[in-house]
Amino acid sequence: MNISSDQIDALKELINIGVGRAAGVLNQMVSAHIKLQVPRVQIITLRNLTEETKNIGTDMLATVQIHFKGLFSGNAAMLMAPDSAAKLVSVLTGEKIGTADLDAVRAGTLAEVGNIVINGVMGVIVNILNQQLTFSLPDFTEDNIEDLFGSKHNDSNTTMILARTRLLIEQLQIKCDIIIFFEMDSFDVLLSAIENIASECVAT
Amino acid sequence: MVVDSAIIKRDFELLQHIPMGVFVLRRDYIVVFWNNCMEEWTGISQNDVLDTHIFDHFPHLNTPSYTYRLEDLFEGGPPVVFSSQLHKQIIPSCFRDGQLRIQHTTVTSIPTNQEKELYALFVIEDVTDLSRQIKDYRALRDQAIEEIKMRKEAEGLLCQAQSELEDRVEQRTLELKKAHTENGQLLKAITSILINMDEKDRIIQWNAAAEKVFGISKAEVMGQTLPECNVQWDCDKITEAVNLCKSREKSTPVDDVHFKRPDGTDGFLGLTINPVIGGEKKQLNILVLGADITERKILEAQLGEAQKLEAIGQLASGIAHEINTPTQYVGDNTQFLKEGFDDFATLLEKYNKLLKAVKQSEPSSQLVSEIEEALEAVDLDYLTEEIPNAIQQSLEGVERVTSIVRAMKEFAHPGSKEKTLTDINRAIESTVTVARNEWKYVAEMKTDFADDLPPVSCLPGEFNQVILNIVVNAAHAISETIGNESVQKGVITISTHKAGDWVEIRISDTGSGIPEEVRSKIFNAFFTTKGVGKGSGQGLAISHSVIVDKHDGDLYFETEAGKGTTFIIHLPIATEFKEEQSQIKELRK
Repeated sequence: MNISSDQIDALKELINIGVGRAAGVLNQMVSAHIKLQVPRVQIITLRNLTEETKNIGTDMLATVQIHFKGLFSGNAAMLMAPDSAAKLVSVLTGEKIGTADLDAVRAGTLAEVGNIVINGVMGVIVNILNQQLTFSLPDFTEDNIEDLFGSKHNDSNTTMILARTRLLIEQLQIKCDIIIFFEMDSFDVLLSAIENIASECVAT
Repeated sequence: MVVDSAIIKRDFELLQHIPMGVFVLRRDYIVVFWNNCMEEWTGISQNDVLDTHIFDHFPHLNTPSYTYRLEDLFEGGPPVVFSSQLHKQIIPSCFRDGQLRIQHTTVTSIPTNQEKELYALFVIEDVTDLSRQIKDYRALRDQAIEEIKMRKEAEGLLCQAQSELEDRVEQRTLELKKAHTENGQLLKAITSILINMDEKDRIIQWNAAAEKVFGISKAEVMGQTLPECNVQWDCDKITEAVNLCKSREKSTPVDDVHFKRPDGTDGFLGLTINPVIGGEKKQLNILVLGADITERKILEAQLGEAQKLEAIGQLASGIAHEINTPTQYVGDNTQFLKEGFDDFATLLEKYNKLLKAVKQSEPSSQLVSEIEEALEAVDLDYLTEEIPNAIQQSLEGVERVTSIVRAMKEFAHPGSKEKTLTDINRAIESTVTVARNEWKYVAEMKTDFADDLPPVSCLPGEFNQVILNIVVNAAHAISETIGNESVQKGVITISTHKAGDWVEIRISDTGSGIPEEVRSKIFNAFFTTKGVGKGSGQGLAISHSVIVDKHDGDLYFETEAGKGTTFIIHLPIATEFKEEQSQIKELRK
């Protein structure tokens, strides 16, 4: 697949806007000041993802996923190490930072955070591309990286956008990755849509 | 915009009955659906809420933290989650007890019959029970974690304590080893006999001094009782003392224990039997401490002898004087007798001439006148009267000397080492005689000896020494009272009598008495009130030792200031004599 640098820039822009919106929402919700770092956006294949996620430093990952269907289909996910996730919940709720276990209530909170971050990004894509998509409810899971994505995406060449960012809350730096998978041909559809928007912009 | 309530009712009818709060908002936040559960939770009826602004009922929703997130939803954006922790009550509702319901809310966009028109479907889940359970679970878990933490800390402390304990035990063991070594060295170093016995009288310690004194190694006696070990000693005396010590639980001295030294000579031990309560069971062990006192005994004997010699030395001039006086007048009388004999010889020669002349029948008046002249010259009447007196006096003088010499011999004789049946009256008399010169200038001597005094088993030499010491002291006491130039003498009275199984000897003086402050010290060795060179401070100490220790008797005094002192000696009557007396009584019966 050939992706032009313009396309990549456009994608990065979209995701930047989305992350920015997500940060705004989070700041309104909680008293602590939350800043989302400008993400580092990469277009990678599933094969490379495993290598990349090793940087998170743990086999187990706390994940919030939303499936989308429509003109282009796929999965949007926020990933973080479980202890980071627990720490994040504690900071957001003002609880004492205790154990790393993510019970149902904490999972609900984390699902909302993931929901905000993913919605930020996906909302921007939907709005700008003016595409109707159907979204599933955010789903929280705790699993290893291969079981999370491997079974669903057998094709190791599946293209995906990996946006790596960091949630900066007070003195804490919580690593957080956003991954958007695209099913067969979906990424091409996305790129074409971006292309169209770009040409419309040029035309106007 | 008018809500087509019929369509809405049709589309959402099913949601009326599910046990979750469900309501639908139009893009302008007008409530288009409100299910039964919402009615129940909020108390707001469908009639009151439908077609009204949600913000009219719940103004807090009209804030960016809600509206901002819902914006995309109406544009077909992804569902929105309002989690129970971050938004506990999106639509506040209470239970009957007043407690607020905890809610987890999911908002999804739903299409309507109108193109591109999207509604927001709020589904509110009551997670109060779940939250409570999780809260309880967390509390339990936190408690468990805290307990584990505390337990780990306790384990840590325990480990530390154990480690410290081990260190202390190690240190203590080292100290004990050191102390043990030091004890061992100490036990080796001490020159006293040290024998330790367990509660069954088995020897558990036998030090180097014991090995040396008895010539028996520790290995030979360990585990044995005292009678079992191969020491030739007065074992009955020791056993008796051990038993006494056990019963009284007090240190018990046992002196003069006769034993055979390793070289075969006789020796004496001075021992102390000590109770030692120790060990886990608080058992009574016995610790025998002591020494070979043979040398000391010899020295004591020599000291006694020396003291006697000292006394004799002191008495010598007096005795010389005593002997000198009769010797002098025996000499004078003998001179007188010699001269008288010469006169008689001259007279007899004249009588012999007269006898021859008479036999030859030629007596002459000249011879008669010569005899008459000689008779006149020799003073025959005087001689006839005085010579028998001189002879008598001389005999008395010789008798006097003889008695003094005999008393001297009796007094100064080294005496037997064994006790012998002694006539106490006679012994006192001899001593008084020997000491005569010591008292005669200051005191009259009155004696009152009982005739029926039984003999006493004693060491005569040492007994005499005691009497001498007391008599000399009495004379000194009187001397101090009357002064040197006094004409008035004091009185020393010595009486003896039998008192039960005892012979009592009382020696009184008319001195000044013993001052209160020195009464408790007078039997102490080296204590004296006499001037330098006059007393060694040994006399009464030795006297006490002789009477109490060697004769099982008693020596004490009664004194009154200004009136005098009486020393009282009690000596046990000889057992042999008592037996003899009782046999006689039996025979008489």
